[in-house]
Amino acid sequence: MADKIIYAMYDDDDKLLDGARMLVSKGIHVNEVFSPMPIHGLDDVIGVRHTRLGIASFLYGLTGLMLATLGMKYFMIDDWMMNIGGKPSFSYLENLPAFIPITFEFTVLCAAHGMAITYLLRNKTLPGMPASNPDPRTTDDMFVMEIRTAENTKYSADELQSMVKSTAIVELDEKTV
Amino acid sequence: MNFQFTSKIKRNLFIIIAAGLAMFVVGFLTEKNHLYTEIHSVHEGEEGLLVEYYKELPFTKVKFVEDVTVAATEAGISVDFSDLIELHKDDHHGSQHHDDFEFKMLLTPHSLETEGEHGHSEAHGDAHAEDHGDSHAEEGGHDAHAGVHHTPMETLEHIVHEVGSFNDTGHARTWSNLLVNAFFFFGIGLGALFFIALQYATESGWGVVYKRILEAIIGWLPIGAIFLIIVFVGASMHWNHIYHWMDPEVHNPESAHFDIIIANKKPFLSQWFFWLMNAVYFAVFLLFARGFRKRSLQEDLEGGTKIHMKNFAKGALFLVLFGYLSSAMSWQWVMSIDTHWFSTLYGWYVFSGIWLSATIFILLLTFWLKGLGYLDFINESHIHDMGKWMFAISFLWTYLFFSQFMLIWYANIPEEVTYYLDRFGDYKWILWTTVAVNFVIPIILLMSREAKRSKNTIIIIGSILFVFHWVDVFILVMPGSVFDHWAIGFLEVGMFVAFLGMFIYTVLNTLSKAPMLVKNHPYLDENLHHHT
Repeated sequence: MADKIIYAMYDDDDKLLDGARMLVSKGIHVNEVFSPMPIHGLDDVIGVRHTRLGIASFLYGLTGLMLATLGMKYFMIDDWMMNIGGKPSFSYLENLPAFIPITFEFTVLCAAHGMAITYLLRNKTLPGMPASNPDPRTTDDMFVMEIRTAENTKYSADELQSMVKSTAIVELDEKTV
Repeated sequence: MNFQFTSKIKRNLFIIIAAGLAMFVVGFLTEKNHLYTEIHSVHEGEEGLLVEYYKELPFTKVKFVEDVTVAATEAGISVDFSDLIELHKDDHHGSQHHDDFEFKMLLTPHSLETEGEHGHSEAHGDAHAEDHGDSHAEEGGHDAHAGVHHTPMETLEHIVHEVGSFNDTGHARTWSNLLVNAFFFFGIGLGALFFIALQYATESGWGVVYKRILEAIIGWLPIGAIFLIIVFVGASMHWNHIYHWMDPEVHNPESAHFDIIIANKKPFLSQWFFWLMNAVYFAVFLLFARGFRKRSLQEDLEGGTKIHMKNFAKGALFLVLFGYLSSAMSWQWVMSIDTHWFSTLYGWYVFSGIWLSATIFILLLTFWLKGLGYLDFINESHIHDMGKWMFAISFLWTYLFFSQFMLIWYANIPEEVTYYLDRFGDYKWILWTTVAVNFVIPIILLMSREAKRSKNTIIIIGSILFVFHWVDVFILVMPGSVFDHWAIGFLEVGMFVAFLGMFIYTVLNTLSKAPMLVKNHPYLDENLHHHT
């Protein structure tokens, strides 16, 4: 059976949230929501798994911390011994305070860039990539909910449509994949 | 619903206060003091122990010299004594009355077995008898298995602390601890006052449910101010010597104790300015606290946005005043203890500690009240937001500690490093433990979203951080007021517990006087549905 995608458009985030609550309570799985801004509480309603971006960011930060430490140890202590602020002890540990700001900055740099790039890659929204939202108005003032028939096999496509229609939609669109 | 301040809770708090006071009294009665010691290098490669005291002592110099000689001989050390007061007298005149109290000697130890060689003397008298039998060749091997070994200097320092110990009539530790606790708990009240002003000024919606808890904590301010004033009056009347610059001798060019650095700062380091600023601090803090509370109760009855807008204006005004006053306050109350030293970001450092202690206390109180079933309207998202503050301010504190330390470490200017030399000397372990705990515990254990929402995690970590931020205030005050004579014993713990009991009593008492949830706040409805 062909997979049908139902796009239900709302003009208000609260109406979408109420509609989603109603549909989910009937056991319908909402695949995706396209919205110009974050909708508070939506993740819990449609059962989006919690993002692992934080963990990735932590790992990028750790990478930065290690790279900075290894780099500075090599540049400033091993390869070319530097007299740091008149403290020529030539020891990384004894000159540690001097290295901490750079370690901190590099950690933040790696964590932030790594996180941003991962986010763009994961969402397939790198600059120049084709847009995946069904309607350009979802970047302006409209909210679209996406329901796939293949994920809701206990209802027929018509039943799904009529249930979606019973919520406060402004437009309904259907696409066959 | 109002908080019911039941007789059972009151009784428990009285027990806590009584237990604290009992411990304090035990500590107070057994408070010992000893002569100040400092290791000085005398000549090339030779070190002497400088022993000083500037008040009346229960023993004479002759007796002290005899006792030290006997104890040192037992430990295998011979000691040279030189009285520095005699040398001093030739240079200065006109301070005769002070010389009766002055005790300043240089003690130079020499090991009996290994003349002139440091590091091989046995500290304990009983083990010493064996040592005589050993040849010098065997001594290295003996060192390896004998356990604790001391240099002659360490042994001598130990002997001086034993022989030169006496009951402290000046009660330096008691006064300094009174300042530590008065300032720490006043700071929590002040942190809550700042927090509420910040929320008014930014028109925040997320923290409306916490408003009554903040107001309850602010309720401590008048009582906290009384304790601070007791310490300051004591300092001004010379009952205690926490503030070195209050001694008129240091401003007197004729005196042997004349201190040109302090004398040049007379306009700032003078009694009249100190008290003038105290009047400003207490007036501003207490008046704003009273105003915020009054308008909060008024809003419950009247509603509308008029009071909200007034709070907005007053909150912004308070933040401006607080920016100046909190810095100046920490300079005068705490930084001037280490009179010669100064740091421009000290005020922020103290403030970050204040704010964090307040945040932690808010969270701990919230969980306790939730456990009693009062705060059902505070949901996980509210807790999460406050947990984020606790997490974030921990790093503000670490950041400011490190910024202050690194700049001083890097520049290595004598007038600046004195502050850290004092702390790295006798306070080394307690200082680094505090820094490590206050940085490492939050960064590792509070980073995840779940941890900031978990009751048990926040209670355990919060309690640890709360205690260690008290220790932080302890390290701010003690090195400049009791020098190396610090301890954390019955006196310190007892006073902390008693203060904590009184503080909680006052907070709960204030809390019971108004409903737990505000009414008519414009953002109340939004906040009750708060979701992050």
